[in-house]
Amino acid sequence: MMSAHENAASVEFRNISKLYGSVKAVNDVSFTVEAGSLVTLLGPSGCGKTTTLRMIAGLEQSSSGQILIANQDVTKLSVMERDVSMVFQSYALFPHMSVMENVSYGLREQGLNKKDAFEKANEGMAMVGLSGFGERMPNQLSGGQQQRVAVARALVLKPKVLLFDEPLSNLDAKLRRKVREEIRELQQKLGITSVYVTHDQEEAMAVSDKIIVMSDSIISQHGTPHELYEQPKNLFIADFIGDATLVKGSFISADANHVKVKLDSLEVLLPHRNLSGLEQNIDIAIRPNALSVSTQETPDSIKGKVRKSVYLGGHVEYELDTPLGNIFAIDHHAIDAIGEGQQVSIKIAQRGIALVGG
Amino acid sequence: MHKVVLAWMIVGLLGFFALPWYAIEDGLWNLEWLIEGSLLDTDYASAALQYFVGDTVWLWPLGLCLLAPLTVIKQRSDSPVFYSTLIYSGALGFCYILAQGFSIGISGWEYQIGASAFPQFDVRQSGLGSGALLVLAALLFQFTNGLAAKGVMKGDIFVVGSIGFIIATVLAFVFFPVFGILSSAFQNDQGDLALLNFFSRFFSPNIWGLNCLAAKGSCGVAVNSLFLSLMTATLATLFGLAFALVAARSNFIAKKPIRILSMLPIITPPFVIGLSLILLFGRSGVITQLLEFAFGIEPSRWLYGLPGILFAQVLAFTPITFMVLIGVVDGISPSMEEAAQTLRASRWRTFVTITLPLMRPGLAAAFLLAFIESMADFGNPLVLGGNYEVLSTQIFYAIVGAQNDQSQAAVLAIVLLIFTLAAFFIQRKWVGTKSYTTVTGKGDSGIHAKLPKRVEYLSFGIVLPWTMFTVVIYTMVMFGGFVQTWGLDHSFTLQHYSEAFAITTGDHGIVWSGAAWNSFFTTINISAISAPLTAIIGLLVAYLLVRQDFVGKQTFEFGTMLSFAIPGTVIGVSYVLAYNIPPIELTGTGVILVLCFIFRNMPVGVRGGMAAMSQIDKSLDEASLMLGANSFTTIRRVILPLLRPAIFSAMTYGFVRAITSISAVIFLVSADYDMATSYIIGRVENGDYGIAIAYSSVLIVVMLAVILLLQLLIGKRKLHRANA
Repeated sequence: MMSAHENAASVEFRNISKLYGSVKAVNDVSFTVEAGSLVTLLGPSGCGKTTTLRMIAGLEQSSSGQILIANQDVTKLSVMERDVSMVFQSYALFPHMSVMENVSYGLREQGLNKKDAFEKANEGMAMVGLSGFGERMPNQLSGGQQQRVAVARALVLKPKVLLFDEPLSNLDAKLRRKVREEIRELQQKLGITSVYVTHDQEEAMAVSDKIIVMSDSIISQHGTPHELYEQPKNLFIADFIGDATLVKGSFISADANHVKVKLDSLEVLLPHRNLSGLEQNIDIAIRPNALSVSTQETPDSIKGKVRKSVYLGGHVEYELDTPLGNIFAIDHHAIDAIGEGQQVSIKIAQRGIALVGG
Repeated sequence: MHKVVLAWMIVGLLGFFALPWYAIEDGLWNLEWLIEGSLLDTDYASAALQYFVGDTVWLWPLGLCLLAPLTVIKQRSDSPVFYSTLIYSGALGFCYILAQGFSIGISGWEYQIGASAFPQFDVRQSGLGSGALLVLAALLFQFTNGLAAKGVMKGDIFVVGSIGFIIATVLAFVFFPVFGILSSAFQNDQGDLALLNFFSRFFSPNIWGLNCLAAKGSCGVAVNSLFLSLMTATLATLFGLAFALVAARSNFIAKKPIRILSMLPIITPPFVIGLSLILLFGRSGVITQLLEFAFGIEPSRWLYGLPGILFAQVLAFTPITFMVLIGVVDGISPSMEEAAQTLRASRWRTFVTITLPLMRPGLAAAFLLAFIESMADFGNPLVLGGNYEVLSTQIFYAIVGAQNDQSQAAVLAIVLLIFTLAAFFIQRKWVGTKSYTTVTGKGDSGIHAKLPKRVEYLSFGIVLPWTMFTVVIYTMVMFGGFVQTWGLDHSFTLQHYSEAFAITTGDHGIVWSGAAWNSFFTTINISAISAPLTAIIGLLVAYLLVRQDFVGKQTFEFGTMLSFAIPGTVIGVSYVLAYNIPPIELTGTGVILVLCFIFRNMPVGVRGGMAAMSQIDKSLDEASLMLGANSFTTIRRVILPLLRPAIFSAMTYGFVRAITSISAVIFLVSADYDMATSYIIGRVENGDYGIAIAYSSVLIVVMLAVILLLQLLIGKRKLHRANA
């Protein structure tokens, strides 16, 4: 079994900007990807995440700043000199070459003879579970198989860094979950530094060691999936990562670790993470699945009215009218939907409340 | 990076030390220069040796420029010292060669300033040769490699080098000659600047006169040309539309044959149509004699002049407009017409309000194309012109006629150039911005609306007689060569073929004794050399335009497409004027023909390549790059295999155009390098129609064979595995 572990390298961006004419696609971005980790660039379309990925690859050239791979400045190096591989959104399998020719293409370019190249390509195909498919042409494979060929083709070169450009976007929803687990498993097994681009936050949460959320050409927040969910730095992150209803709370008191906040009639105690200015302004994100909705009066809850309810089998989605404003809720325990217009009491679990800021 | 830099340095040094610096009269491959001792001859010495044999001191600095990379070869490729050295030494050396080439000519200093600065040197030199070519290339790539090292074009050596190469060659072989013709128009016979002279010539009534509008007299050549081209373009566009409608929208059984028939003129030398018109309608033509016999109509010379040229050109250019329009007619989304019909529009209203307006850009493109072709056409006016003078033939007569007036030719060429460039610009600006593309690539099923009856009848009224007429013409071309004397003696003979293509056996084996063999072999050779080169350069340009982004890309595209709008006669004249004297001395060689074909036919290769390449997903290239292949390998292993149809058409076009073209060729042929078309035209002018027809039909058959062969060799791209 081959391993790329010894070749894993860190990736560092230092104040990278990319201009298209006068439009800034990436604006003064700095981050580090630790060797052997998988970092996801996440954000809505047009946020600059794909441009960032392509700059690591060398397919785009930065307008200013420095890019380092394995602590070496590669800013001006061409694609070929960077020792980086990429799995493309469209897979980009060469349609006129067989699977074997596709996978061994890079090896042959490195000067390996046909026998060695095919041998290594076979190892690579075995790794993604495609042994015996070498003779096929790409158009004779299913979407998932093509995707794996693309991964194998990138992996056999044992690159310092492996890049994924929305690798799951051409697969159907069911397959996506399976393939993303396979990718993560393979990445961890090989310990290869990977950078992954997606606009799907669930996918990002599932595969990443760390996530870099980008919006409007800058990094909005950089952290582990847990940090992003529990400690969103701003309203955008709070909403983008795992959905949230954003409400205002009012300050009651604070001690060394916690702040006491009043939410309508409720008083909740939250870790204040040393945020400043809490006395004036408290933004709070309420996660929809932390709410339970009941027609029964319950203590420690807020009152509200059901504006809309949608029954989806496994769960029920509500839009609720409350003194805090409109709140979106997902109730996973409901047996049947509560009808629209009913008065309800809403209980908020402590884990579903997060302070926004940073 | 370093390896490439060193390789080019070695090439440069080879050129500098070993190969003859100056052009050799009998050609490099004669190898006379290798024979002992003659390396030290002034004519054959390399740049390094020129110093010892010919007091040529000014070439030595080039050696320093070539060796400059050695001083920094130990440096990292992205260190400023490394790339600055390459950039500056390359640029300096390159410019130095050009500067010395243009300032020191065959009879000494070209400019007074040089002679007064270095009075002690008695300097003179001839055209640059193979050594100089290698040194120039080496310095150019030294410069581009430096740019790549600096990070230009993502540090891609191949891409930067290609851009540099294309720019250098287009400047040398398109802009330089055209600039030369412009400047020679402003000079008098002594080579001094003469603006007044130019204006009096330019605005002469011989060019712009309108006397033909009055009772008697003839108009100026420019007016004649303009009138002819407008008429031809209008008729050819109408006829092309009729063909397209019949081929795409009717249930006519012979649709396929029509499409094939319409391709025939592409492999026909342009004047062959004119020639066969003479055989039909000339004073001793078949139909003329028939009419005389049946109705007693006196044979006249009506064919010679505007009617004949117009007739021939419309016949020749309708297939071109057809090819433009068939794409447009096919491209109209049926759902547009279906929508109109559900909105209660009749067939006629649908055609007038939907179909025709959607075709407008296509009609404009077809019109302008026919206009440019007609303006540039040389063969038909030469054969059929009579007293009707047009620009292209007058340019020819100004050069080869008794007057031999270069600046008159230049002035006429400028007028012609103004017309075609204007049409070219209108096409780009107007048609380029208006796109009514209605096919989106999404599934768009539906049935095209039926043609309105009157349009259908009109179209058939044009297409059917036309088709029959074309069949008659080509039958005549095929069989006319077997007839004793056309119009007089219609008995069967092989005399014309034997005169042209006889093969006899002499003392030393086979002797190609036919009169046509010489020009035939030259034509095939030159065409076979220039076709692949045309395809390579055209596709390379297409690759750069589609796949790379760089500053000045639009200008780059314009520069490479420009030669399409330059009529062959203008190219011919400008090549003769530009390459008659050092530093680039090519007149009378085969090289000048090859270069002419490459740069004239390249735009079509570029267009075809661009269309094909934009259909190949860009991530394929990127994937290949990421897998460690450089962009040259990427082109070779990924793009080219997927581009086979485009390569095929570029090669075919390059080959066929090289065989059939006449307008530029007629200026560039020499005794050693005579081309088939110019040979045939010569025969036509002498009235030897038999040989001319026989030779033309042989050319047509050869071209057909080559096209089929190429199709077989290059063929379709392979995306599916062959069933083994």
